[in-house]
Amino acid sequence: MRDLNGLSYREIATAVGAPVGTVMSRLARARGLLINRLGNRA
Amino acid sequence: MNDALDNPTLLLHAALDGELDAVGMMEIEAKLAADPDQAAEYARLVALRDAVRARIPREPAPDALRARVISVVQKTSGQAPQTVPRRLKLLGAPYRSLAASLMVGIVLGAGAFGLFGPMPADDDVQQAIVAGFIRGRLSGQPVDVATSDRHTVKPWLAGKISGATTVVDLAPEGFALVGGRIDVVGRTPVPTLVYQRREHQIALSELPERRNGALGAPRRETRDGYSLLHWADNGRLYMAVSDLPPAELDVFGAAFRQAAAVEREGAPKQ
Repeated sequence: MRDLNGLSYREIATAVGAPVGTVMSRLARARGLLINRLGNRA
Repeated sequence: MNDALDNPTLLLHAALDGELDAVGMMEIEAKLAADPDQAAEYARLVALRDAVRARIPREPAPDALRARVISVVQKTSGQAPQTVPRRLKLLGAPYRSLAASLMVGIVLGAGAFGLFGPMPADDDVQQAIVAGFIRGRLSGQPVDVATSDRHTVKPWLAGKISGATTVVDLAPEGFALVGGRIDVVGRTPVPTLVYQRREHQIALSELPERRNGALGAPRRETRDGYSLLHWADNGRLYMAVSDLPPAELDVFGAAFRQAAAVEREGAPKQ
């Protein structure tokens, strides 16, 4: 939603029904996991 | 969100996503300059974002999500259904980008700018551009996305309006990119970039070129005490307004045109 659809944190929070802080932490965690997985495959 | 902003990691992500205001962005850039580890982490995030965007095709938002967003905008702005906001800047800051997204969805759905009708007369366009500049200076928040990274500003704008906006890095020429925003001229959303030189700012708006419009050659005017420089290039009309001395605005215009030409040719910038 953030990187492909370009929604802001507030828009994502509205869409998923979660606080903005939760959106931020989930996004950071997801990106961290993705970086680790991609790093392991490289 | 306030608690989240105490977390350096989340702050880094917020910077990447253009969620910080100008002051917050400047603080982050200072931290990145002083901390190689943070700078490396930020570079990894930028690389991931670019890779995701390059490799995964974008899909339109599902109808259910679109309807939900539209519903929220209508409730918060107190507007009747199916009404497009006339001036985004009149809405509360938290809903500005949301409303912009709604407007873009309608633009893209209609398939063309034609939905919005013709641009207003030259004089009205200039007045709107200068008014936007003054509003940005007075509010202290001249941009909706605050970052000196043009690779963040460009996709942010692309997510709000149809068509690509020319965004170039002019820091080597002494004009640092502050960020971007969407102005509304008449009924047309217009991408506007903000650059900084010393304590002065330049707001550069990119508009559809008029069929009988301005000459390609740069032309400078003064309006309400501000310098206004406009030119046509590659089928687009550019209008720069600034509180800079006129001669320096000319330098900015020349630097922008040169950098834009280099980018179009795909040649590496010197």
